Amino acid sequence: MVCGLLGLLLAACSTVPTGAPRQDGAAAPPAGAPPAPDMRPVSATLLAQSRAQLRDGNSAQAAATLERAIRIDPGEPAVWLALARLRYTEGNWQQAEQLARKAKSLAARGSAVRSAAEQVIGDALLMQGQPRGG
Amino acid sequence: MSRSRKHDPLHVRLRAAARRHPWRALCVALLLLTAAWILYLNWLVTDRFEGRRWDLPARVYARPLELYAGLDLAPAALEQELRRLGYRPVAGRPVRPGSYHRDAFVIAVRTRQFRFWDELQAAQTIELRFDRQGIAALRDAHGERAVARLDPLLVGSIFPQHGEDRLVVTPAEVPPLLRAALKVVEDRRFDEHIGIDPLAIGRALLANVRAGAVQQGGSTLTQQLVKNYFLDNRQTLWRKLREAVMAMLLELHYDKDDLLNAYINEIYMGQDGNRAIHGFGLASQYYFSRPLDELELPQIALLVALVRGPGYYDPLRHPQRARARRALVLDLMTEAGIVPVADAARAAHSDLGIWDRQSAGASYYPAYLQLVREQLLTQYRQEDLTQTGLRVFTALDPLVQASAERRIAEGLKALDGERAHKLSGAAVVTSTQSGDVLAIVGDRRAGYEGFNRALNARRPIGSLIKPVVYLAALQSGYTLANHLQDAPLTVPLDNGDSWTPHNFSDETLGEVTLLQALVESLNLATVRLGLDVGVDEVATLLGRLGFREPVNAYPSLLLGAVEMSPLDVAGIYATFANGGFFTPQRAVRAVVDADGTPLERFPIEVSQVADAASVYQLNQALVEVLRRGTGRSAVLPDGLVAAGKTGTSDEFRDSWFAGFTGDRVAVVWVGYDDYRPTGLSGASGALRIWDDIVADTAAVPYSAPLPDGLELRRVDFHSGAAVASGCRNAVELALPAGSRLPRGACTGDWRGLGKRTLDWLHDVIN
Repeated sequence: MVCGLLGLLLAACSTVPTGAPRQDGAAAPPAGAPPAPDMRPVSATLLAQSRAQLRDGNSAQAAATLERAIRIDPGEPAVWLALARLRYTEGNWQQAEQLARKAKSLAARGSAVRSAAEQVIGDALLMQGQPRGG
Repeated sequence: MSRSRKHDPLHVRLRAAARRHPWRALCVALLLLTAAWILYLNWLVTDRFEGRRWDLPARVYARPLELYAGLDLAPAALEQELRRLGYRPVAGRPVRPGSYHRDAFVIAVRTRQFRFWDELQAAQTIELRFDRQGIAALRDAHGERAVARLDPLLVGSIFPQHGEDRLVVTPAEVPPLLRAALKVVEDRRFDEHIGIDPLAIGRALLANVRAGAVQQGGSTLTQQLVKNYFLDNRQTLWRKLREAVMAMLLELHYDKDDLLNAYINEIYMGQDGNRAIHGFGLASQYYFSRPLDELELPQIALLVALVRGPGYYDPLRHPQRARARRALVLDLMTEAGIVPVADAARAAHSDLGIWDRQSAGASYYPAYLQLVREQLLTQYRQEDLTQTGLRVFTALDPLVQASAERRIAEGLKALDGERAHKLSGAAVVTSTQSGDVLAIVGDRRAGYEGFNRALNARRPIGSLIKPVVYLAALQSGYTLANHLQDAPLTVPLDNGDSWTPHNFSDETLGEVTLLQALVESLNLATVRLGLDVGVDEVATLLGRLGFREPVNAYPSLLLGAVEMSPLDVAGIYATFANGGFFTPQRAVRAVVDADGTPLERFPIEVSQVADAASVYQLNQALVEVLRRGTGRSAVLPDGLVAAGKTGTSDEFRDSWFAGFTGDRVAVVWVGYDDYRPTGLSGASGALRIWDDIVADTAAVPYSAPLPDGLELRRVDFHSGAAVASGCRNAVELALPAGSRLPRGACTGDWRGLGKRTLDWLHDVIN
């Protein structure tokens, strides 16, 4: 019976709208799966660029770069997370929280991005005077 | 009586003087009148000149195309985009900005320098290598690179005034050769005369008499400028006199450079449907899709040739005349010595070079611009938009817009069939995750400037509301496997009346799952569910999903007795597509001032308004709508998983389809403006157009990560019972973990399927 259920799950993975091949806006693999696939080079480049812009004190430009990345690769949680962090540094707690939630919703279970997103959510909630655990 | 005395009042003395010397009096009176008239003309013409002088209307750009390794773009598609942007193909390595070179699978582009809203991108050479999936790699002078942007398409100015459109160019953007050519061809003594040129008039008269045709005009550039301000085809002597006086007055007030610049920005250069093209800046974009400062000799000569008669010499409709006049212009330029003979000869033999507008769709997007203006006017005054040279970066995607326009036009024509009255339609396409509005179609005529149905038609949404009802139910603890009764009912209303809803097919299916009730759009089951959840809950959820207008929480709301625009609907369905995150639908991405300083930014914002697990469940049902439900007649490419909902309002007055893929949200509406019934359901009307638009423009199938708290189960579509893999009506569903599923077996039988299938066929055929 366990084998049957496992078989069902495997079959399910191939037809239900999750776990699709890596594409824009596409899935993280189903629960309990290996770590998320590597980031696309374009997203990694833009992320690095925005970090450099932030280091130079250019917050508006860094945000614009991250938005470019979101438009190109909206399924990549790391980009949403970076934007969430940026909003946090700007004091925009509400958007920091929401963008981090978005990042979390796209991130694979157990991944580093996911726990980082949860961290930002918690911090942002605190800054809004609300308890953690949102 | 006729002798006036020193102490009489002035008017008495004047009158007496007039009686003594009537002729002199008449002269004085005439002189005074003339002076007054001249003063009036002076005011008229300087007011017009000043009014335009500092006008720097906002320029509006479409989205820039981002190029990166992994982008699913064929070389031919990139070439098309480059040509639309006015890039010229060259043999060998592209050197001039605005040129490219194509080998079979490699395209090298020399991009233009462009100031984006976030950075100034210098002109650079990018080399793209393609494989079967699209772009395989990019390189520039420094080596491998991850991403590059092309300069965006200029889509026009923000406020065409009275149907006139112009792209104001600064003196720096005007090629010196253009100035020289204008003087040589139109007004040789421009720099010397006082506004009129009697010599020119005389010469023109002689030349025209000799040639037997009007070859030269005697008007100066200044006179032509005046004529353009007060466009008047009645060239009577009186008008010409007025024109001459005003020209001289202009010359009195303003210097030659100012006048020439005004001329360059003002002169009528052609007609594009409803839109009059004024000025060389827009003419350059309109005819060649290139910025004015990029034009070469043959194009400059052609534009100068057009000045004399843009309609008569229209290069599209009268290419031979255009060529001939261009050759004449080149001759004059050679004679005057401003251009070498060899260059002129080469230019005369070259193509007219008019870009092919057909492949790009209309280059004028008034429906989209309307949304841009609406969104800008929340932050800017009208004067800011017309005078300060703002640059507005929008999310408009010309390819998506072209597809939506074409599919609406063709689709409505097909649906019209033998009807006595032509149908109306509208479409909105947005980007799923960013909220960018990619295309707006407000009328079946592309470029129509009137009523914009996508933004302003408020129509009953009918069954489009059902996902909201079901989402409310899912959020309050229902699952897709729960049972509902699709059975007749009468609902007592607050005012003492009662309401008896019906299913579209008038049959009732008895006990069904939530899944089936939504997928097959069963009214009775939905009303029962909605009443159980609470109409107020549904109304509140509608607000949270993004619909900001007040909503009457009557039971009829459950079947869509609420009016929305297609854009409103897109906002709601985008929230479903985003897993419960609301993101504002934006046409404007960024605004920059004339110096390049970013002003207002319209950042990407999100807000979680519905819980992910419930939305995930809902979306599964919406996928089934297209697989086996009321949307099953949609034709989509293999592998492009989509989700959506048909919407049919009372008595078939509105035909809707709203749905999404991984990258696109699209809404189509079809109906009559006067609300008469169309006989079209969402499936037989709007869906026919929707699936074409989505097939054209969507590349990413809908998919989402499985949220916490859900697990996959295999259940029967009709009974909700857990079933084995062999069951013919089995569906893999994610349901809340630990859900207790109803007892039951695989409903492999054809319970009611025959009649239902017939109904669907009926729908599809009609």
